[in-house]
Amino acid sequence: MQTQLLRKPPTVVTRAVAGELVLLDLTKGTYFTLNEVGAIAWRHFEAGLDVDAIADAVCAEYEVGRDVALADLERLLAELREAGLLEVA
Amino acid sequence: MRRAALIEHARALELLVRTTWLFRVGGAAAVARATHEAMIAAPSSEAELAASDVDPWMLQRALARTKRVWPVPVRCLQTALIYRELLRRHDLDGQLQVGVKTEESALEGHAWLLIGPFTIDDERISRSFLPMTFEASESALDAARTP
Repeated sequence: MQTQLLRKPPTVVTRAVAGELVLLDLTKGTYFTLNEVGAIAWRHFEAGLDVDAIADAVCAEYEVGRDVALADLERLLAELREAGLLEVA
Repeated sequence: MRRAALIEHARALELLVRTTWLFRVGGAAAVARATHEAMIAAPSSEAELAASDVDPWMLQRALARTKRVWPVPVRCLQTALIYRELLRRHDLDGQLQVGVKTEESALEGHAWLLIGPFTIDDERISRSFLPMTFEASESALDAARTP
């Protein structure tokens, strides 16, 4: 379970385009895109919510099992941190 | 060609050499640093631009002429960074904008410069791109979810 407060590094810029969230990491010059669910998760990660709370929010809005949502969110969080798109505040 | 334009032409040529080296040898991290610095720059105001003796369109024409004789393609980001350096040599500054759009499901990026009331964009396509911001993503997400 995520308990650390995370934030977007100051060198990451974002923009919503056609339902996706585009992230540009200026330290590497690389783009990433998140679909709508990923973008919602990103906002909640950024706000410091833990994976359980985000899974509840996703399950309330989308037809997805909680176990699947939790596993997907854990994987997304790990990928975002590994890519340097989220950092510990 | 007037003397001032010739000077800007020479400056643009020097900056083309320097930035081509940056893009080809400096690596992605060096380009990213320059991009970040230009994106957080405070652009000169309309009043500052009016108070200077610089014609921003003359600078743009000088850079465009220089690009035409340059042997390799110069893309939008490099152009915008060079233009900003041309401005800085006159104690003015521009703010780099990096925008994105989707075209047939493919993501496209573009870069241009803002100074005072002007958008400096050789390709004149910046209006179709959404500028990326440093702000928290919540407002951007709200915009994305608005039909």
